Amino acid sequence: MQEKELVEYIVKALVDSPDDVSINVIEGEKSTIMELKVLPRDVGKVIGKHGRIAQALRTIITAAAMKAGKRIVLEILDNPRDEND
Amino acid sequence: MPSREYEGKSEKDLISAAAKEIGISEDKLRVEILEKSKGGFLGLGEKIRIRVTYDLADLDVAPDSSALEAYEKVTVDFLAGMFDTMGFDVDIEVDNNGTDRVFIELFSPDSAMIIGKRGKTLESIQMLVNTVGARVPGSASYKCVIDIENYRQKRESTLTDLALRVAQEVIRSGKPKTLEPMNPFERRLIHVALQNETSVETRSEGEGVHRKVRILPRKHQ
Repeated sequence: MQEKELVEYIVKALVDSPDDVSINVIEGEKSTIMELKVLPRDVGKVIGKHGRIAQALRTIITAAAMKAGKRIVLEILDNPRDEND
Repeated sequence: MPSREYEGKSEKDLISAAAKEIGISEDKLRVEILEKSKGGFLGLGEKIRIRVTYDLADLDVAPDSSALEAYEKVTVDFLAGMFDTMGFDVDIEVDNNGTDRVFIELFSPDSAMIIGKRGKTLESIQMLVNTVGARVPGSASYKCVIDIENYRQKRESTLTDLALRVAQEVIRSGKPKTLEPMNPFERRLIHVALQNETSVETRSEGEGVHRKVRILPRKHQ
């Protein structure tokens, strides 16, 4: 899926541990949800000050999805419990 | 690690010249002597060739061509890869005019989608590219500005026109008017456009992305 690749591509350029980036795609009827998981220390790099990077990321994904006629919701998982997985 | 070669007469002079050209302190250079030939009478015709190797992280903050090159390469590569993944057909041109500000110009049949509503997508792309570029060692003073089909220039004149038009309205009605939310650069354009207009004053209000310019009638003494 092209949008997943796009998120992966951008996020890997932003974080310190690109190998620990994973995206879970949940296809819905009207929209697709993407759950982005990065290492806890990289979460801030993906969200940015006042969520500015996350917002930019979402805007770009929306633009790319629009071309394909899709609606995509990006969720950044920030769960400290995942650290011990 | 990048490296360069120099040729000259004295090792000491070469090292200081190299450090100056690269923009790094001399003790951060790893020097290798490649060739050394003793000259004839009184050292005349002496020749030496050295190779200096350095770490990008050690570069001085001062503008320096090789760090700038690295910065340009990283930002352009990132952009090209991103458009590729998006399935957008985009040509990219770079120019820095010899300054710290790198201008990236895009050419694409998909320009409308790249710009987005009120330039939101273009703004987001520029923000991400700057964030990625900031990860390049020694790039602290560099910033890149991305434009497509002269969008920024057009937006500038649109905003200046808007400022003047709304100012006239405020003068006529005597009531303040608030513009839509804008980024710092756009708000500045409005302030600058009206700074010599004595009958109105401008103020920025609100926080963060919701910050807007308010144009008010100026009280006469």
